[in-house]
Amino acid sequence: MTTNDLMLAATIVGCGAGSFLWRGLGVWVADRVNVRGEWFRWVSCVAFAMIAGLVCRVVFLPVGELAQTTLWWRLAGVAIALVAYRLARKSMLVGVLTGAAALPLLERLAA
Amino acid sequence: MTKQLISPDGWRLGVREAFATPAWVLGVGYIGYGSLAQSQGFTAWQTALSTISIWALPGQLILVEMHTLGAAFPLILLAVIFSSSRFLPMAVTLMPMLRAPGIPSYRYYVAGYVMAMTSWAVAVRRLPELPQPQRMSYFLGFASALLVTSMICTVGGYYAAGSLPAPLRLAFIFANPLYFTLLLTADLRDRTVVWALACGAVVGPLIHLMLPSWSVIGGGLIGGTLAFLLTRRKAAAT
Repeated sequence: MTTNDLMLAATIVGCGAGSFLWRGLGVWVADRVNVRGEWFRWVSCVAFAMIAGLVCRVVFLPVGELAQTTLWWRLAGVAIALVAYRLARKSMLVGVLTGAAALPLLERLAA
Repeated sequence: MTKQLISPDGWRLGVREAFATPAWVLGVGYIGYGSLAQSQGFTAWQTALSTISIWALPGQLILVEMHTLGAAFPLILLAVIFSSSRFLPMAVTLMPMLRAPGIPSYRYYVAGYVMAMTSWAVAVRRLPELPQPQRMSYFLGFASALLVTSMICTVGGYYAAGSLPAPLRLAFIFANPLYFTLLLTADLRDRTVVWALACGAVVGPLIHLMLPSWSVIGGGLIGGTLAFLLTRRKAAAT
Protein backbone atom coordinates (compact mmCIF):
# COMPACT_ATOMS: atom_id res chain seq x y z
CA MET A 1 0.00 0.00 0.00
CA THR A 2 1.42 3.36 -1.01
CA THR A 3 1.21 6.67 0.87
CA ASN A 4 -1.21 7.85 -1.78
CA ASP A 5 -3.47 4.88 -1.10
CA LEU A 6 -3.45 5.69 2.61
CA MET A 7 -4.15 9.36 1.94
CA LEU A 8 -7.12 8.41 -0.22
CA ALA A 9 -8.40 6.05 2.48
CA ALA A 10 -8.06 8.85 5.05
CA THR A 11 -9.93 11.22 2.74
CA ILE A 12 -12.74 8.67 2.37
CA VAL A 13 -13.03 8.32 6.15
CA GLY A 14 -13.04 12.12 6.44
CA CYS A 15 -15.84 12.32 3.87
CA GLY A 16 -17.79 9.78 5.88
CA ALA A 17 -17.25 11.70 9.11
CA GLY A 18 -18.40 14.90 7.41
CA SER A 19 -21.45 13.15 6.03
CA PHE A 20 -22.32 11.88 9.49
CA LEU A 21 -21.88 15.36 10.95
CA TRP A 22 -24.76 16.65 8.80
CA ARG A 23 -26.94 13.67 9.72
CA GLY A 24 -26.17 14.04 13.42
CA LEU A 25 -26.76 17.77 13.31
CA GLY A 26 -30.13 17.11 11.68
CA VAL A 27 -31.10 14.68 14.44
CA TRP A 28 -30.01 17.20 17.06
CA VAL A 29 -31.97 20.03 15.44
CA ALA A 30 -35.05 17.81 14.97
CA ASP A 31 -35.24 17.48 18.75
CA ARG A 32 -35.46 21.23 19.14
CA VAL A 33 -37.94 22.25 16.47
CA ASN A 34 -41.70 22.47 16.52
CA VAL A 35 -43.02 20.15 13.79
CA ARG A 36 -46.15 22.23 13.38
CA GLY A 37 -44.22 25.44 12.94
CA GLU A 38 -43.47 27.28 9.71
CA TRP A 39 -39.74 26.77 10.20
CA PHE A 40 -40.19 23.03 9.98
CA ARG A 41 -42.31 23.41 6.86
CA TRP A 42 -39.53 25.46 5.28
CA VAL A 43 -36.92 22.81 6.10
CA SER A 44 -39.05 20.07 4.47
CA CYS A 45 -39.47 22.26 1.39
CA VAL A 46 -35.68 22.58 1.19
CA ALA A 47 -35.20 18.82 1.62
CA PHE A 48 -37.62 17.95 -1.18
CA ALA A 49 -36.27 20.66 -3.47
CA MET A 50 -32.68 19.45 -2.94
CA ILE A 51 -33.56 15.92 -3.96
CA ALA A 52 -35.71 16.97 -6.93
CA GLY A 53 -32.89 19.22 -8.10
CA LEU A 54 -30.34 16.44 -7.79
CA VAL A 55 -32.44 13.89 -9.69
CA CYS A 56 -33.34 16.40 -12.38
CA ARG A 57 -29.69 17.41 -12.75
CA VAL A 58 -28.68 13.77 -13.31
CA VAL A 59 -31.21 13.52 -16.17
CA PHE A 60 -30.53 16.88 -17.80
CA LEU A 61 -26.84 17.51 -17.00
CA PRO A 62 -25.23 14.19 -16.10
CA VAL A 63 -21.53 13.54 -15.58
CA GLY A 64 -19.52 10.39 -16.29
CA GLU A 65 -20.91 7.62 -18.46
CA LEU A 66 -24.45 9.04 -18.67
CA ALA A 67 -23.02 12.25 -20.14
CA GLN A 68 -22.19 10.34 -23.30
CA THR A 69 -25.87 9.64 -24.00
CA THR A 70 -28.30 11.96 -25.79
CA LEU A 71 -30.60 14.15 -23.68
CA TRP A 72 -33.63 13.13 -25.76
CA TRP A 73 -32.99 9.43 -25.18
CA ARG A 74 -32.63 10.02 -21.45
CA LEU A 75 -35.94 11.90 -21.45
CA ALA A 76 -37.49 9.12 -23.54
CA GLY A 77 -36.20 6.64 -20.95
CA VAL A 78 -37.92 8.60 -18.16
CA ALA A 79 -41.18 8.76 -20.16
CA ILE A 80 -41.02 5.01 -20.91
CA ALA A 81 -40.44 4.28 -17.22
CA LEU A 82 -43.48 6.38 -16.24
CA VAL A 83 -45.71 4.70 -18.84
CA ALA A 84 -44.50 1.20 -17.92
CA TYR A 85 -45.11 1.99 -14.26
CA ARG A 86 -48.72 2.94 -15.01
CA LEU A 87 -49.32 -0.01 -17.36
CA ALA A 88 -47.88 -2.48 -14.85
CA ARG A 89 -50.38 -1.28 -12.25
CA LYS A 90 -47.89 0.87 -10.39
CA SER A 91 -45.02 -1.59 -10.16
CA MET A 92 -41.86 0.43 -9.49
CA LEU A 93 -39.65 -2.53 -10.44
CA VAL A 94 -41.25 -2.90 -13.90
CA GLY A 95 -41.09 0.86 -14.47
CA VAL A 96 -37.42 1.14 -13.51
CA LEU A 97 -36.31 -1.97 -15.43
CA THR A 98 -38.15 -0.97 -18.62
CA GLY A 99 -36.86 2.59 -18.55
CA ALA A 100 -33.30 1.53 -17.71
CA ALA A 101 -33.24 -1.07 -20.51
CA ALA A 102 -34.67 1.47 -22.97
CA LEU A 103 -31.72 3.89 -22.74
CA PRO A 104 -28.92 1.61 -24.04
CA LEU A 105 -31.34 0.15 -26.61
CA LEU A 106 -32.29 3.58 -27.95
CA GLU A 107 -28.64 4.61 -28.05
CA ARG A 108 -27.80 1.43 -29.95
CA LEU A 109 -30.65 1.86 -32.44
CA ALA A 110 -29.77 5.47 -33.11
CA ALA A 111 -26.05 4.78 -33.57
CA MET B 1 -34.92 -6.48 30.34
CA THR B 2 -38.58 -6.98 29.60
CA LYS B 3 -38.77 -3.98 27.34
CA GLN B 4 -38.46 -4.73 23.67
CA LEU B 5 -36.27 -2.22 21.93
CA ILE B 6 -36.97 -3.56 18.46
CA SER B 7 -40.43 -4.42 17.27
CA PRO B 8 -39.84 -7.66 15.30
CA ASP B 9 -42.92 -7.04 13.17
CA GLY B 10 -41.77 -3.58 12.22
CA TRP B 11 -38.23 -4.75 11.49
CA ARG B 12 -39.45 -7.64 9.30
CA LEU B 13 -41.84 -5.39 7.40
CA GLY B 14 -39.03 -2.93 6.75
CA VAL B 15 -36.65 -5.61 5.48
CA ARG B 16 -39.36 -7.17 3.32
CA GLU B 17 -40.35 -3.86 1.73
CA ALA B 18 -36.69 -3.02 1.12
CA PHE B 19 -36.35 -6.14 -1.00
CA ALA B 20 -39.58 -5.49 -2.91
CA THR B 21 -37.87 -2.99 -5.25
CA PRO B 22 -35.58 -0.41 -3.59
CA ALA B 23 -32.76 -2.82 -2.67
CA TRP B 24 -32.54 -4.08 -6.27
CA VAL B 25 -32.50 -0.62 -7.77
CA LEU B 26 -29.94 0.69 -5.31
CA GLY B 27 -28.01 -2.59 -5.70
CA VAL B 28 -27.58 -2.17 -9.45
CA GLY B 29 -26.58 1.45 -8.84
CA TYR B 30 -23.84 0.26 -6.49
CA ILE B 31 -22.72 -2.45 -8.93
CA GLY B 32 -22.24 0.41 -11.38
CA TYR B 33 -20.38 2.39 -8.72
CA GLY B 34 -18.12 -0.54 -7.77
CA SER B 35 -17.15 -1.15 -11.38
CA LEU B 36 -16.53 2.56 -11.92
CA ALA B 37 -14.26 2.77 -8.86
CA GLN B 38 -12.32 -0.28 -10.05
CA SER B 39 -11.76 1.28 -13.46
CA GLN B 40 -10.46 4.46 -11.81
CA GLY B 41 -7.80 2.67 -9.80
CA PHE B 42 -9.41 2.49 -6.36
CA THR B 43 -8.57 -0.55 -4.26
CA ALA B 44 -11.40 -2.88 -3.21
CA TRP B 45 -10.96 -1.75 0.41
CA GLN B 46 -11.22 1.91 -0.45
CA THR B 47 -14.32 1.29 -2.53
CA ALA B 48 -16.06 -0.68 0.22
CA LEU B 49 -14.96 1.90 2.79
CA SER B 50 -16.55 4.69 0.74
CA THR B 51 -19.94 2.95 0.72
CA ILE B 52 -20.05 2.18 4.43
CA SER B 53 -18.72 5.56 5.57
CA ILE B 54 -20.15 8.10 3.11
CA TRP B 55 -23.27 6.05 2.34
CA ALA B 56 -24.59 8.42 -0.32
CA LEU B 57 -24.20 7.48 -3.97
CA PRO B 58 -24.02 11.08 -5.31
CA GLY B 59 -21.24 11.96 -2.84
CA GLN B 60 -19.34 8.78 -3.67
CA LEU B 61 -19.54 9.56 -7.39
CA ILE B 62 -18.07 13.00 -6.67
CA LEU B 63 -15.24 11.30 -4.77
CA VAL B 64 -14.36 8.98 -7.66
CA GLU B 65 -14.77 11.61 -10.37
CA MET B 66 -12.67 14.23 -8.58
CA HIS B 67 -9.97 11.72 -7.76
CA THR B 68 -9.88 10.69 -11.43
CA LEU B 69 -9.45 14.33 -12.41
CA GLY B 70 -6.51 14.55 -10.03
CA ALA B 71 -8.06 16.95 -7.52
CA ALA B 72 -6.22 17.52 -4.22
CA PHE B 73 -7.50 15.49 -1.24
CA PRO B 74 -8.69 18.52 0.81
CA LEU B 75 -10.75 19.71 -2.17
CA ILE B 76 -12.33 16.28 -2.60
CA LEU B 77 -13.12 16.25 1.11
CA LEU B 78 -14.81 19.65 0.94
CA ALA B 79 -16.84 18.79 -2.16
CA VAL B 80 -18.15 15.50 -0.74
CA ILE B 81 -19.00 17.01 2.65
CA PHE B 82 -20.66 19.90 0.86
CA SER B 83 -22.84 17.56 -1.18
CA SER B 84 -23.83 15.67 1.98
CA SER B 85 -25.41 18.77 3.45
CA ARG B 86 -28.82 17.62 2.20
CA PHE B 87 -28.81 15.11 5.06
CA LEU B 88 -29.40 17.95 7.52
CA PRO B 89 -32.89 18.95 6.32
CA MET B 90 -33.65 15.30 5.53
CA ALA B 91 -32.90 14.23 9.12
CA VAL B 92 -34.87 17.17 10.53
CA THR B 93 -37.91 16.10 8.50
CA LEU B 94 -37.61 12.38 9.20
CA MET B 95 -36.89 12.23 12.93
CA PRO B 96 -40.27 13.53 14.18
CA MET B 97 -41.95 10.71 12.23
CA LEU B 98 -39.80 8.09 13.98
CA ARG B 99 -40.42 9.46 17.43
CA ALA B 100 -42.11 7.18 19.96
CA PRO B 101 -41.98 7.12 23.75
CA GLY B 102 -39.22 5.00 25.28
CA ILE B 103 -36.78 5.03 22.36
CA PRO B 104 -33.27 5.86 23.65
CA SER B 105 -31.87 8.93 21.97
CA TYR B 106 -28.81 7.19 20.46
CA ARG B 107 -31.21 5.29 18.19
CA TYR B 108 -32.14 8.47 16.39
CA TYR B 109 -28.46 8.95 15.59
CA VAL B 110 -28.26 5.36 14.33
CA ALA B 111 -31.30 6.10 12.16
CA GLY B 112 -29.55 9.25 10.95
CA TYR B 113 -26.50 7.22 9.97
CA VAL B 114 -28.35 4.48 8.04
CA MET B 115 -30.60 7.03 6.33
CA ALA B 116 -30.00 7.66 2.65
CA MET B 117 -31.99 9.25 -0.14
CA THR B 118 -33.92 6.04 -0.90
CA SER B 119 -34.87 5.19 2.66
CA TRP B 120 -35.81 8.81 3.33
CA ALA B 121 -38.02 9.13 0.24
CA VAL B 122 -39.80 5.85 1.05
CA ALA B 123 -40.09 6.59 4.76
CA VAL B 124 -41.70 10.02 4.48
CA ARG B 125 -44.45 8.38 2.42
CA ARG B 126 -44.76 5.12 4.30
CA LEU B 127 -44.20 5.97 7.99
CA PRO B 128 -47.43 7.95 8.52
CA GLU B 129 -49.37 4.78 7.61
CA LEU B 130 -47.62 2.69 10.28
CA PRO B 131 -48.39 2.54 14.02
CA GLN B 132 -45.99 4.73 15.96
CA PRO B 133 -44.25 1.98 18.00
CA GLN B 134 -43.32 0.12 14.79
CA ARG B 135 -41.87 3.03 12.85
CA MET B 136 -38.31 3.10 14.22
CA SER B 137 -37.89 -0.65 13.78
CA TYR B 138 -39.38 -0.49 10.31
CA PHE B 139 -36.98 2.26 9.31
CA LEU B 140 -33.90 0.60 10.82
CA GLY B 141 -34.80 -2.71 9.12
CA PHE B 142 -35.47 -1.03 5.80
CA ALA B 143 -32.36 1.15 5.78
CA SER B 144 -29.98 -1.54 7.08
CA ALA B 145 -31.20 -3.95 4.42
CA LEU B 146 -30.32 -1.33 1.83
CA LEU B 147 -26.89 -0.69 3.39
CA VAL B 148 -25.99 -4.39 3.52
CA THR B 149 -27.21 -4.97 -0.06
CA SER B 150 -25.28 -1.94 -1.27
CA MET B 151 -22.08 -3.13 0.42
CA ILE B 152 -22.38 -6.54 -1.24
CA CYS B 153 -23.12 -4.94 -4.61
CA THR B 154 -20.24 -2.47 -4.29
CA VAL B 155 -17.75 -5.30 -3.81
CA GLY B 156 -19.51 -7.47 -6.43
CA GLY B 157 -19.46 -4.63 -8.94
CA TYR B 158 -15.79 -4.00 -8.19
CA TYR B 159 -14.78 -7.54 -9.04
CA ALA B 160 -17.20 -7.84 -11.96
CA ALA B 161 -15.93 -4.58 -13.49
CA GLY B 162 -14.08 -6.15 -16.41
CA SER B 163 -16.90 -8.48 -17.40
CA LEU B 164 -19.75 -5.95 -17.25
CA PRO B 165 -20.76 -4.90 -20.78
CA ALA B 166 -21.04 -1.14 -21.32
CA PRO B 167 -24.78 -1.08 -22.21
CA LEU B 168 -25.59 -2.99 -19.02
CA ARG B 169 -23.50 -0.62 -16.93
CA LEU B 170 -25.33 2.30 -18.53
CA ALA B 171 -28.70 0.75 -17.65
CA PHE B 172 -27.50 0.20 -14.07
CA ILE B 173 -26.46 3.81 -13.68
CA PHE B 174 -29.68 5.10 -15.24
CA ALA B 175 -31.86 2.96 -12.94
CA ASN B 176 -31.31 5.25 -9.96
CA PRO B 177 -32.62 8.56 -11.33
CA LEU B 178 -35.55 6.63 -12.79
CA TYR B 179 -36.42 5.10 -9.46
CA PHE B 180 -36.37 8.48 -7.75
CA THR B 181 -38.51 10.01 -10.46
CA LEU B 182 -41.16 7.32 -9.93
CA LEU B 183 -40.86 7.41 -6.16
CA LEU B 184 -41.16 11.18 -5.91
CA THR B 185 -43.93 11.67 -8.46
CA ALA B 186 -46.16 8.69 -7.64
CA ASP B 187 -49.21 9.47 -5.52
CA LEU B 188 -48.47 13.11 -4.95
CA ARG B 189 -51.03 14.47 -2.53
CA ASP B 190 -49.37 17.17 -0.49
CA ARG B 191 -49.50 20.52 -2.28
CA THR B 192 -46.39 21.79 -0.50
CA VAL B 193 -44.38 18.74 -1.61
CA VAL B 194 -45.55 19.17 -5.22
CA TRP B 195 -44.34 22.77 -5.25
CA ALA B 196 -41.07 21.93 -3.51
CA LEU B 197 -40.31 19.20 -6.04
CA ALA B 198 -41.25 21.38 -9.00
CA CYS B 199 -39.23 24.38 -7.82
CA GLY B 200 -36.23 22.21 -6.93
CA ALA B 201 -36.38 20.42 -10.28
CA VAL B 202 -36.17 23.74 -12.12
CA VAL B 203 -33.82 25.71 -9.88
CA GLY B 204 -31.29 22.91 -9.14
CA PRO B 205 -30.17 22.31 -12.76
CA LEU B 206 -30.21 26.08 -13.48
CA ILE B 207 -27.75 26.72 -10.65
CA HIS B 208 -25.69 23.77 -11.80
CA LEU B 209 -25.15 25.55 -15.13
CA MET B 210 -23.63 28.54 -13.35
CA LEU B 211 -22.10 27.13 -10.15
CA PRO B 212 -21.93 23.32 -10.36
CA SER B 213 -20.75 22.74 -6.80
CA TRP B 214 -23.63 24.80 -5.40
CA SER B 215 -26.41 23.05 -7.32
CA VAL B 216 -27.66 20.82 -4.49
CA ILE B 217 -27.49 23.35 -1.67
CA GLY B 218 -28.37 26.42 -3.74
CA GLY B 219 -31.14 24.62 -5.62
CA GLY B 220 -32.58 23.31 -2.37
CA LEU B 221 -32.44 26.62 -0.53
CA ILE B 222 -33.75 28.78 -3.37
CA GLY B 223 -36.24 26.26 -4.80
CA GLY B 224 -37.41 25.22 -1.33
CA THR B 225 -37.85 28.79 -0.13
CA LEU B 226 -39.75 29.63 -3.30
CA ALA B 227 -42.10 26.69 -2.74
CA PHE B 228 -42.45 27.62 0.91
CA LEU B 229 -43.51 31.17 0.02
CA LEU B 230 -45.83 30.05 -2.78
CA THR B 231 -47.72 27.63 -0.54
CA ARG B 232 -47.95 29.87 2.47
CA ARG B 233 -51.49 30.08 3.77
CA LYS B 234 -52.27 33.75 3.88
CA ALA B 235 -55.23 33.45 6.22
CA ALA B 236 -53.55 31.36 8.91
CA ALA B 237 -51.00 33.85 10.13
CA THR B 238 -50.48 32.19 13.49
